[in-house]
Amino acid sequence: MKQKLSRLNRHKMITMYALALVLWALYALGCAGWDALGFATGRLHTETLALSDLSMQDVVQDGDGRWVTAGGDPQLQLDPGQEVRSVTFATDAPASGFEGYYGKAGQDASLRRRVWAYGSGEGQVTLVFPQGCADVRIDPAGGEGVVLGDADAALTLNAPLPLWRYFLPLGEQGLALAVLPGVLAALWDLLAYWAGRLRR
Amino acid sequence: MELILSLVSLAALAGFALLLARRTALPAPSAPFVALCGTMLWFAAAGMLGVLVPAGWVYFGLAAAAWGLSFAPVGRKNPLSALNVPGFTAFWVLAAALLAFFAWRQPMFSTWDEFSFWGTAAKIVKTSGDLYVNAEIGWAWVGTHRPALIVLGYFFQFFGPYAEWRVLAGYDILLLSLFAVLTAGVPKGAWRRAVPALGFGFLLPFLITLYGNVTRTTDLYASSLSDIPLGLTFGGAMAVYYSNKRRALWPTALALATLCLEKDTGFAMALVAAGIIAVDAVVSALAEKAPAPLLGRTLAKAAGLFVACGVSFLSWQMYLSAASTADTSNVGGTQQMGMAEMVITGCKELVGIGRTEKFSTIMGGMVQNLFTSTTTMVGPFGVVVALTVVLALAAALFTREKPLRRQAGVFTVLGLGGFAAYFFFIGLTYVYVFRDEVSDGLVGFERYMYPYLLGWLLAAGALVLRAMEEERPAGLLQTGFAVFVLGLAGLVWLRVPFTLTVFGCGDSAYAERRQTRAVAEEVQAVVPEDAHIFFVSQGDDGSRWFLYTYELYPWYLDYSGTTNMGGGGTFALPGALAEDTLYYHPYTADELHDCILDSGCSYLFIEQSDDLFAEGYASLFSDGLAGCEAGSAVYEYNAGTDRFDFVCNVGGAA
Repeated sequence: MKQKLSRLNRHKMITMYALALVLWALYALGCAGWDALGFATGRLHTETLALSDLSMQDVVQDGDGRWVTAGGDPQLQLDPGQEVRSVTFATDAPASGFEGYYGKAGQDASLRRRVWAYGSGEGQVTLVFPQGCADVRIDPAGGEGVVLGDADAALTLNAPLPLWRYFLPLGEQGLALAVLPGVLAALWDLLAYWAGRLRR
Repeated sequence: MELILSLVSLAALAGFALLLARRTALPAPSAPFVALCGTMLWFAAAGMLGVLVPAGWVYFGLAAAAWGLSFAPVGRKNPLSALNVPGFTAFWVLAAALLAFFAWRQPMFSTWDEFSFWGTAAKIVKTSGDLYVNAEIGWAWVGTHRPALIVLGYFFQFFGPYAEWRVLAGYDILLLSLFAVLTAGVPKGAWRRAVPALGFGFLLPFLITLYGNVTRTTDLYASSLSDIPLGLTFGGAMAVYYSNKRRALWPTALALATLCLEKDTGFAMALVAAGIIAVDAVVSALAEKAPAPLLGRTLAKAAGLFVACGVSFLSWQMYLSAASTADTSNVGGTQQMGMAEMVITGCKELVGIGRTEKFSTIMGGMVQNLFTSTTTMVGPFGVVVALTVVLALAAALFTREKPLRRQAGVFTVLGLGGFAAYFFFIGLTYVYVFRDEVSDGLVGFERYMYPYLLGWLLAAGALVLRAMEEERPAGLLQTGFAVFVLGLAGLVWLRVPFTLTVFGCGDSAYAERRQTRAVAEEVQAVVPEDAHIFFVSQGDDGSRWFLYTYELYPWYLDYSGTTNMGGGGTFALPGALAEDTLYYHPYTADELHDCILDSGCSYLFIEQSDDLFAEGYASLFSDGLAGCEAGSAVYEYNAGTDRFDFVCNVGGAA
């Protein structure tokens, strides 16, 4: 055991990154399990919200009844009444234009709580949030004239996510995974150095 | 595939770095930077000699040989021993990770200067296999900028197609190699020193360049502009010297030669760095009572630093005088002075001889800015100067090494002198070169100053890292530096949302660029490559024109206007707009018709039409410009009818 610890001590950086990966995998599995439990207990459920039921800004219906962005800052404000883990939108608008802001109820949108959408299939855009959130705002495009969908366009909340999706870090989670193990290895090394000095 | 081909370039670089680490006394973490400097010089020289592509093949051949030589036994030294040093290992891991990340993220150019020179030049070099000086571009192409950074981008895409992310990754790998230099003295396993050193380097551009309003957050570490690499190469040239106890001068000479080929102002900075290091080398030799022959050798080597700067700087001047018609003898601007004349006149004014009000106002404004404007994340430039001095003093105070204390002293005094000289030089450009509307507001002052500060701070960091090797009391400096860097990281974390950086941004950051690229590809699909294209984008301030010149290259986008009145803008009949309207081309229909045909254009790309254009020029088009009602359109000249025929809409128009 002492030998093993000594080996880990010699390879602090590798140890910390390996530990981070293990912890991340456990965290991802935990999130997947927590969501599965949520679906089983009714805390989460898949729900469809028509665009016409949402509060909107700079999004209007054109003459053909299509939903179109009509100003510089189009927004869809969701008031879902349940925790939201993901939003899926069947649309031909480019996924690159979509971004989502999440938070607790009543919290203002913040650049620090922002996620990007990805194309999850032909004509389908998905936003996944790193935690269950009560307040969600979706900005579907950066400008006007983008057709979001027909008159009956709708969003799907909490469509079940494939298991692999939980293992993909989102935004700052990726930063933490890339940087924190290195910082902790340095801290470990520094503490070990001082411990050695004090022992002497 | 592009990623794999870029990794091949990285592997070639690794061959040379490994060879340097193994066969010379250079500390392994400095080897990637020195190898990159050599690479940039090699490709720049090859470009000047007109043998860029063959030299590339020779380079990769030599790299293969370097790999072989690296693994040939030399005494008892293990070929892989260099890999056991944290900075060396970290560099290759980070460089490969960066390439992979950029291959996925696909960052793109986004600023004006990237389209007007840096990005366009990179595309020209890759597309033509030659330097860009005499490229056939639709405007008075200022191809006189220096080539080292451009060929760095070329090196990372020597194999495979042109891609912007490969250029940007090349720049970042240069920066990573500079950060690795800081870890030169860090022994195996000492992550407590290596991580803060790398973190310090990585955070510097955030701390220094973001508050001057000249760097967008998303562009940091995703830009092909020269300022940050220039500043950090300046610092790297000094850091590579300070971090090597043997005080070898040849790596610094290589770095200084590279610096002189990165940008014109690099020469001034290289002279400052050469001065600091030359004085340091000579003072060290004198203090150590070196015998006369050794002192003579040191003096000769110190002089060699200036020779390296001079040769590098003049090589480009000579190349330009041979290959380009551009006048390189004066610095241009409002006074049309030569460099020497400008400095002499400035010095006279400084001591009061013939001092003008303009000189007093500009210099006074710059000094005031130095202490009052919040130009960096840590405060005004004066705070950065103080921080650099404090770091150098900390290195002197906490080291047991007497020579390092002397080095820190020389660095502080001469660095301050160099800063004053550089500051004065920048002031002179505002007095004598820039137009009044630029010099009155000291426009871009921060941008010109921060390369020096970046480099100076990096070099001060190298002194601190070096002092840790024999610190007193043991552990204090490394702990203090780690806490200091953690504090800097906290500051950046608080001030810069991660989603605004290239590492955390979404596709939307580049959505507009992707759209213009798609439009350009549609235009290229319907216009023959040898045709000249006339560009119309009503209301443009020149930025759309520059952008499409870049996007369409190697297709030729015409200057699209008569001399001094092209490159974007609004076409309208004389009198339709006030005469002093910016970028207004007051042409009659006949004048526009002649302008298009006289410039040899057979195609028109109307990116943005409007009522002014339709009212003035619909008669020149066989469909009366109906095609433009649906959006951007391409027209082709029909000699039979002397009209322009509609070809197609582009950009997703119906």
